[in-house]
Amino acid sequence: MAAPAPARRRAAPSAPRPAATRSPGAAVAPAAPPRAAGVDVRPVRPGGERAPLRVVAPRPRHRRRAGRRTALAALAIAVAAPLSVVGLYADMTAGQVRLARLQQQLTAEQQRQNTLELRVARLENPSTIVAEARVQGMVPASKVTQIPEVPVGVEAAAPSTAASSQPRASVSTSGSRSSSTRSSTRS
Amino acid sequence: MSEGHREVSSVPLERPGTRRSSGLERVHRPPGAGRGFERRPRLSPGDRGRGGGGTGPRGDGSGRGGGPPSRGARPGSPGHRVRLMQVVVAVAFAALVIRLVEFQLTSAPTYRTLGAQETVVTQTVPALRGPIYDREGGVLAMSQPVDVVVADPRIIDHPRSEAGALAPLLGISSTTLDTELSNRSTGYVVLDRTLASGTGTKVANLGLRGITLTPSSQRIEVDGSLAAPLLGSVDAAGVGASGIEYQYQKVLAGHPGSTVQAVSPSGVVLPGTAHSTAVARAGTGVELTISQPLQYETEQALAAGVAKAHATNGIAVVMDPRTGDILAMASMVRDAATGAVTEAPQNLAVTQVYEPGSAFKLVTFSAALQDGIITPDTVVEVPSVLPIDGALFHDAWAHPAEPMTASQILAESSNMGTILIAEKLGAARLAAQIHRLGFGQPTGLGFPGASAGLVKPVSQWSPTAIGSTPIGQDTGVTAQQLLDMFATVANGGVAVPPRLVAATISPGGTVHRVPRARGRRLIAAGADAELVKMMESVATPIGTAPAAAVPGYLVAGKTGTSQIPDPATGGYTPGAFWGTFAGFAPAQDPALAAVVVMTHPQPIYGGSVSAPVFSTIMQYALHHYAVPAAPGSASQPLPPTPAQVGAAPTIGVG
Repeated sequence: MAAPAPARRRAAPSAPRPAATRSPGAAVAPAAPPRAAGVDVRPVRPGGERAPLRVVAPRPRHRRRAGRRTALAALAIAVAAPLSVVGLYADMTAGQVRLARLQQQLTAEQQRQNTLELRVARLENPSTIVAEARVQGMVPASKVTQIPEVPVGVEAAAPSTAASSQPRASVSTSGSRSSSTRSSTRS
Repeated sequence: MSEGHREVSSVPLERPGTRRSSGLERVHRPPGAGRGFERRPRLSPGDRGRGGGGTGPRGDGSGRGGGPPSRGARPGSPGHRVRLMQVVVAVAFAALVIRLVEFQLTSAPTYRTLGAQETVVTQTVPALRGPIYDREGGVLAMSQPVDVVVADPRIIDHPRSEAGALAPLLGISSTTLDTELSNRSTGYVVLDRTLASGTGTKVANLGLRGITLTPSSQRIEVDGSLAAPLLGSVDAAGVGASGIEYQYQKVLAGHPGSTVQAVSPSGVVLPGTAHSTAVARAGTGVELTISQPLQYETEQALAAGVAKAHATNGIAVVMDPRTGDILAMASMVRDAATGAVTEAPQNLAVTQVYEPGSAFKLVTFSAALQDGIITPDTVVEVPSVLPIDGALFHDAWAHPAEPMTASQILAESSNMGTILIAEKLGAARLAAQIHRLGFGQPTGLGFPGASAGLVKPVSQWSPTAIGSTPIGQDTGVTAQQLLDMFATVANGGVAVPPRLVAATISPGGTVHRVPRARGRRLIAAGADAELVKMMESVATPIGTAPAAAVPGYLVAGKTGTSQIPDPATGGYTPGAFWGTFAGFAPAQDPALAAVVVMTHPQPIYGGSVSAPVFSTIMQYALHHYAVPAAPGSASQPLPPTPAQVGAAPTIGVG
């Protein structure tokens, strides 16, 4: 159990595992030496020989700037996109409210028109006109004279005069049979 | 390594054979040592295994704790538990996935609907019913948007204050409202069914809890009951129930819309969420051929006539014989108890079937004139009585056998003379003329409940039918059918089907005229002209209806007085009559035709009760439509007498 365990390519543990947690009899690997941050750990070759060390070139400066820009852009998009959605939604809602208000106005105007139409219809109906005429003292004409249409240059004939309809309350049938007692019994 | 250095309670906190995984165990501490628990390092399985006996729970050396250290997937080993947990987690995830798939695919619509029901409310927007206009564009009936105000007393906390707020808007006393809103036995109280929309908005703005407004519409007959039997009515749901409202339900109804809106749990509509899923489309308007002023005058004249004659009911119809347009159609009933005359509950002009009596003689005379059986001057030897198959027919007045011209027979309405002419004509030709003039068939108006009349086919005529049918018995007609015949005569023998609807008007105002039906010649022009001449004598002093005359115009017409059948006895009801007058004017160029019928009038004669109403209506109508008066001083011509004709009787008994 003296064979050393291969070094592990991972960050150096802050502390070795407590031996007490291991099973009795199991080989305990020696603790890996602490590594400095940024130091490449060279792989161990099968023959136990380590690869030669080499200098790693630092990351180019412009690439770091580009990466920063990309990150900033992504952040800006991440912030701006939801804000834009919220803004658009707010605008849409405002539009809907405006639309609803206009529809309410339209409905109100239609109702007003309907009410006015009804009012006009009620004022125009015959019973209203008759009642208003009576209030103003109007009475049915006792006779109606028709003026015939006469061509220019032709002497007009005397207009025919027709007795107007009597008020309905005074409609009488009393005279309808006066001329013939025989006919009064016929259908 | 061993727990032997600690004093562990001998009372296990777990059942034997189980392990605590929290690493906490009850440790007996001496009094005053603080909490009864302290953290103790978890023991490894090997440690526990090696513990062997001791005073612990498994200190007896039995069970797993006392055995040799285990390897692999023994029950209770970490590997076993991990695999068990993996299975449990896998099963749980599988269940979640299955449920998720079920939610997202199978049950998605159901849950979506259930979810929507919690927040989304669909409200039906009623479509305004189309208006009904008269021929001059006057509104006869129209719909108004209203709100139905409903209260739920079960969720109203302050009924008195809400009643106080609602009272002035609803026009209901605060006390009454308070009583209704305090009645928690019901959750649905209709406070107002016809609240004007403007007022409804004010009620809604009050934001009262438990008060709901539902949009609806109200049908309004602008002039009250004018033409009510013709227009008909709508039921509580706004659907046509009778008359034109029923006949044109599909046209007038329109299409209701719907609005979807989100509401809060308390029922408040969330602003900006309402949107129409279907826009309400108002119904199409219907323009009738009726003239509102003439309808009013006709109803007034008929009501006065019915009241004066103490009739049970009365019918009056005015028509343009040239176009078939019905200009007025009135049906009135009289309350026997109070004497009040009001609009009939149904349109009697097309639904009441009655025996027309002598007005039906026009059928006999038109057929006889057309077939050359008679001329206006044909002299008929009229007997005092006429026996037919054992039945005795006689005239309405007693007279000896005497010669009369055909014109006199029509003017004086002699039953004997008419029957003799009908016998000469023959039953088959008379029956054919009855059918040709449209009796026993629908008028074409399509009015709900309209009757086609009752006409027996000639094969079912009784032996006495040749005596009764020519004078208007044994045949049931409607007033409209009778007027159609007179309109045909007025129109030179050409029948133009009657119509009540002139056009439909879309909500956008587009007018679609209903095409007029083409006329059909039913009576030869020559025979028709002779018949009109004979009918002019009816409205003379020796005719049966001098009261039908219209000053300044020549009137042609015919009276009818007929008995009312008694279904119980199969005979006629003693003393019960129908009185009819139908005619047209001006006789030389007819512009208007009309019929007036009264049921149970006193006096009984059509010339006495119906003819004056006809005259009143015609005077107004002729002036209203500016129909030129007859040139000169027109007077109704008297019928020629046998002496004037100077001919011997050609028709008589035997």
